[in-house]
Amino acid sequence: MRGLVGVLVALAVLLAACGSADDVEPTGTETSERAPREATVGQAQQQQQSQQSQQIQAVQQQADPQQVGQQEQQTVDDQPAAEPSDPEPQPEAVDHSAVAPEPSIVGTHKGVRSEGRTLGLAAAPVLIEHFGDFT
Amino acid sequence: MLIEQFVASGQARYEFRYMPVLGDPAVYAAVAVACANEQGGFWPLHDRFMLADETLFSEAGLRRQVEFDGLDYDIFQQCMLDAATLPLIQASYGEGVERGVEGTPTIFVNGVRVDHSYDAIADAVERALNAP
Repeated sequence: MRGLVGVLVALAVLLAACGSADDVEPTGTETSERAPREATVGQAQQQQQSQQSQQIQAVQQQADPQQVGQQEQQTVDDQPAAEPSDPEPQPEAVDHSAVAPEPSIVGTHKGVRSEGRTLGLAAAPVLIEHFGDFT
Repeated sequence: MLIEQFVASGQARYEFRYMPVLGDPAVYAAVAVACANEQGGFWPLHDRFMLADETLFSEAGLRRQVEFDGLDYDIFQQCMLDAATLPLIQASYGEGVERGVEGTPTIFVNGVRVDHSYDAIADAVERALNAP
């Protein structure tokens, strides 16, 4: 009887050991498989966020006059004087006749007739032309 | 003042021409105003840029202003992304160079270059009005 009990106890211990080993291995495998998958998704999200962030920064840098000014200054400083570094539009490259006409939408601005970039009546005897920029 | 005195009275008309001589921000602003012009919104955005409103150099600030002016921002943004108005600005710039414009503001009254002070422009307009 004691021998039978001993065998049963040994068997139970053995089964318990096997059972716990079965439990551990898939968990470990699952964990090891899940970890890189989550990392990949995480990396993609990080990458996407990073790309979005870079795009926003690019737009902001393009729009930020101070940063643009700094970039321009660097360009001018870094490049030798012989190399053309002028980012401004080159009039020689433009065929004036090929430029599409602007829409001349008629309206009113501060009580004055407007038509596109023009204020006033087309029949007015005097034309004031203002070559200007916005900075 | 000039606008009220001479333009509103029908004696003169005033035309703005793009001359972005101050680098990329100037080109950016000119493209934006020209894109607003595509929807009939030239003057409100012109005035805001002339007030040196720095917020217009951020996407959010520009969008706020464009929508405030009653323009369709999607159409405006597409115009900006395509730089659709850039050839027009280049042409205006080229014309300025051909006419001897070296800086801004440069003013012509009936084709004659004058100083950009109020007095000089007013005198030139008066002379043009009184010319036989």
